[in-house]
Amino acid sequence: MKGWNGRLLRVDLSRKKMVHQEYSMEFARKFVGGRGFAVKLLWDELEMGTSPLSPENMLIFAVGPYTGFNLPNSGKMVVASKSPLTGGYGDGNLGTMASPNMRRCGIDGIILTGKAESPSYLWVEGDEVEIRDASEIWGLDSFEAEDKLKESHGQAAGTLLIGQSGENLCRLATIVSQRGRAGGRPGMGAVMGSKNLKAIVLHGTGDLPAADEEKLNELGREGFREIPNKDNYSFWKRQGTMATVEWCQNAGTLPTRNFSEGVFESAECIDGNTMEEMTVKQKGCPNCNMICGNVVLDSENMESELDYENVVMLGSNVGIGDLKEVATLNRMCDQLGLDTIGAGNVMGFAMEASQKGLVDLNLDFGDFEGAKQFLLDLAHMEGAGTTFGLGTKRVAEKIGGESIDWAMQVKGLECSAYDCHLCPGMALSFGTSPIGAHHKDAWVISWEISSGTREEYGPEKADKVIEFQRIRGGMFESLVGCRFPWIELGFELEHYPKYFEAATGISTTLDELWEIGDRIYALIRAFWVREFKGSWSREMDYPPKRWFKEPLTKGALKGKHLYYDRYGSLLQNYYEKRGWDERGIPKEETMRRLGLSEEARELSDYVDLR
Amino acid sequence: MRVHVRVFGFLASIIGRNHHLYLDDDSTIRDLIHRISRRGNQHRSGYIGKYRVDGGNLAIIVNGKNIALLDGVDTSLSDGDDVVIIPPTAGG
Repeated sequence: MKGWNGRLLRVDLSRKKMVHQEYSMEFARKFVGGRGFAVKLLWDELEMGTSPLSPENMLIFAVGPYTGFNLPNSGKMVVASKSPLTGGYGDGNLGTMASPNMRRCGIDGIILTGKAESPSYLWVEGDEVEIRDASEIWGLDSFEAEDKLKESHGQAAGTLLIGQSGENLCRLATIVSQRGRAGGRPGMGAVMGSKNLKAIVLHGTGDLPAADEEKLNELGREGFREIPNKDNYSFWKRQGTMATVEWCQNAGTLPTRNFSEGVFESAECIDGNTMEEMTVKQKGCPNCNMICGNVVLDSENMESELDYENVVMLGSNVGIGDLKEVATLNRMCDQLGLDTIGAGNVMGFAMEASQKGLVDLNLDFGDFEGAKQFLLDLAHMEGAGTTFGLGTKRVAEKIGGESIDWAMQVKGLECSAYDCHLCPGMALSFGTSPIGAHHKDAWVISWEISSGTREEYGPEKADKVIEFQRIRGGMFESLVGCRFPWIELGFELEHYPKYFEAATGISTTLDELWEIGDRIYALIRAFWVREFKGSWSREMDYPPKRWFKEPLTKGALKGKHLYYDRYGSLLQNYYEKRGWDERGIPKEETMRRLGLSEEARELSDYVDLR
Repeated sequence: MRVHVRVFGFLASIIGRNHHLYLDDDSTIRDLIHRISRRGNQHRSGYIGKYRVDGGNLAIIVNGKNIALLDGVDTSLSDGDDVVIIPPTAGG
């Protein structure tokens, strides 16, 4: 097997058993890697109804046949598990030195089960694997803990860690690396904490075999040369994703004060132009020549790596219009191992609930000191954190009344930073995302706005969401690589089948890769349905009610909102194009066509397949 | 009449960010495109760099509303209008 390493590392933390296990070519061909591997393993091995924070849950780190080669933006990794935030399938993606190191340890994934008897970390160097004592770093934030691990294991090692949020089982805990790289929004850090695992250290120096080494290196060189020649390259290098603040503000889609409005009066103070004046250095992922992490000094004079999502959710969405203060909140989240998006979302919800007198909390929009304390409470699951640390949906269910209408989440995962009062396509993307309301899979908002179709609910919106989900959620999440060269600079998709062939020796086409994406999507949906059984319904694919019931009151889009009936038709259209029934469940025939006959048989034990 | 045009993202590095244009009273977006595309030593009418400015590839927003929701390139302009030209953007 070339391109793939053909092996996974299984670690049972309870029994202290570590085993390298080979996987078949059929598994590799059908599921490719990353998210594909993760959902297949979870489907096959995780018993339905397993508590996400129990030792039985599986925590999976997976790369793919693209990862770690000398190819553009190949330093990414997927982390996946059953989510303690949503109760369904959860995953995330982060760029880290751990990715190429994992590949050079001769493995394409690590599957963790069980629970260590005391705080531990996993050390992997080539074929050597040890569960080591982590008592010295337990309780430290992710920056301090990583520094200590690097002192012991050297700078070349890749690290994956949790902060205090993961240790304390905050449902918004992520897995972090390299002071600001984070992934696993649906509480993957809490799963790691529940296993008493503070970190994983990977150091690999082995060969990474490609089917056609010479060709692969030549393609890589060409790709790296092509990227800086793209029109948008120099601007991207200056602002990265932060250019979107200005763009969203002008398009009226900038989440403001818990998504109640789409424009923010202080947007210029937190946008990419302001950031450019403050940037002290830049950071990126391995094997990337379009690095996008812009580092500024925050209000406490510490370095903070900014991105669009973080700045908006911890800025306009909580009414804070000072970029240095926003940077402080962002850096605190990275240290604490908190999801910046989820934390900003639940904080906006808390501020609104406080304003309405529904909770015993004195936290107003724009209250920077209060926001800092709120983050600490979340991470330590103390004070307000004991409830808000369970996630926006659970808090709304506790508060009751109509608060669920303005709990900005789908399936329990907090919405990321796009207001959809007048973006039905993006709302569909949030609604049907395989992990809950995240933009990763189908960021159609740019197309929707640029094409001038914001008020339309036609079938082309369902087509666009599916197209993006195939490319982003299917291909890039299973190869595993970064979508940015394509979506941000227009680096052609046609490169990727060539890379795949040079790595694996297997000829493929984009159409074949889309079909794999559809297979992965159907299986993720099956996983959700199996977990939720009788309570699964198409309502779970609806975006938050606020976008339907509470029109915007400011800006040029004043009075705009989504329409239930039209969204329902759009969703139905999406289901039909996917070959799913009116409940949003893949049809038996669809699963068979995608090579999921066995899975369909099992799913039919839980629901009637149509 | 005088309109304020702001150009975002990498387009700004081609023709500059802020433009105050004096146009005839009955001007439309089409006239504005013709004028703006000649800035910054541009030689191809209707284009900024290789991008055609028609509200398709690049969104054009007048006083907060996309011209696609108005009358497209035939949208009339008025004195004091605020026009934004946005490239396909980064962010997700």
